Amino acid sequence: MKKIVIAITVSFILVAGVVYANEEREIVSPESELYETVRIIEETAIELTKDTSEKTLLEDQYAEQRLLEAEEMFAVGNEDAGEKSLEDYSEHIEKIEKNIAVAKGNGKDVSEVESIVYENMEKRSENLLALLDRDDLPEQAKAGITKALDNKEKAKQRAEEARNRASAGRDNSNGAKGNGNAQGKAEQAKQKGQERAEQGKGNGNGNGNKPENAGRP
Amino acid sequence: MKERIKLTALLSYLICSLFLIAGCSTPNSSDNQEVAGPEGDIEEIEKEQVIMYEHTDRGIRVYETPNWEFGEQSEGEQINVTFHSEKGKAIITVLTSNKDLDEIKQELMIGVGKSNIIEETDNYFTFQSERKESIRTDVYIDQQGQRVNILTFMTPVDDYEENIEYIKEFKRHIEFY
Repeated sequence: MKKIVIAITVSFILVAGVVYANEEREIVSPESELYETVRIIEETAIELTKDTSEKTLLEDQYAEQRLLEAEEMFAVGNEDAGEKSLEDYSEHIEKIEKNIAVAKGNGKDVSEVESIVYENMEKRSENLLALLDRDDLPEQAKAGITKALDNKEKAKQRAEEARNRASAGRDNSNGAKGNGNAQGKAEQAKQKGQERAEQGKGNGNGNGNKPENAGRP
Repeated sequence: MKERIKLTALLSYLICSLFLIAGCSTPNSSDNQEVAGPEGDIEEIEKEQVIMYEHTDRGIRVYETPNWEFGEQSEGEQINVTFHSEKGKAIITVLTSNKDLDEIKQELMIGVGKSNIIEETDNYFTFQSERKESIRTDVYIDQQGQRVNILTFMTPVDDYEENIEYIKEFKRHIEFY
């Protein structure tokens, strides 16, 4: 009986260890030699993407990465790297806002993207607040977090305004028939945002699909 | 008498053959001198070997390649140099690390985000991002002792077929020493 209990305990520890290792691998540490390369890859992905909504979703994905990096860096005591990650996080948020403004300026309906981005920011604000509560955090880092939270508030406000506008527009054009449609779409968008955020947690896990014509140059 | 006739016929045959050979070869040799004589060959080789980028400390040399331009160089513990074509981007990275190839693969894939591996060998892997506008990334890894040379090509999936030849051509113009 003892042997079984020990075997189960050891198996549990081993499995837990692997999961932890995989979770750790969801971000590339700013201390990694490949970090700079990974950042160039991110920039290139944005550069090669033409659609503004897609660019915005990429910025949102990378903002998530920066925040996780900041948390990791503060946890290991690398404050400089943590502050840099927070600065970069704010830059991603600014680009998200800019992209949305440009898309709107071009007459594009980006309410769905706004909803996704807003949902993700809302989730991340909890992480930011948790960071802010840390006693060992330097003042500069706290200022960075406060700024990031401020950006979130602005974005949230804008997203709500956009949803209201979309809702009012649909009500006007559809009359009685359209009642509740905008709200329904917003709900759908919210749901999609949640799904994407959950998917985003599995970043980098290749499925290993191998099509027949790989086309290696 | 018969012998004289045979000799005359043989001489005539030889003379005609000489004329024919001379007649055929003269225009060609003059063409060669004009288009690609020894001096022209040297010029062509020199033209092919114009260096677009070189980092002597890290041992990277990239020769001028049609359709490719130098982008940026960032240097820290490792070096990253970018080049761009009309349809994509190339990143040359030189690491002096003990990272094994699996670690390198894993970290680069995390950088791209949610993606699918298309092909994978010991020193090469390619994957594409799971997005509406999917980006294909081809990574070639070459380990030279403590040094690892990484060559990354990124192209929108829709433009990939057009870009294959550009990538092949660019790869031929890179030297690590």
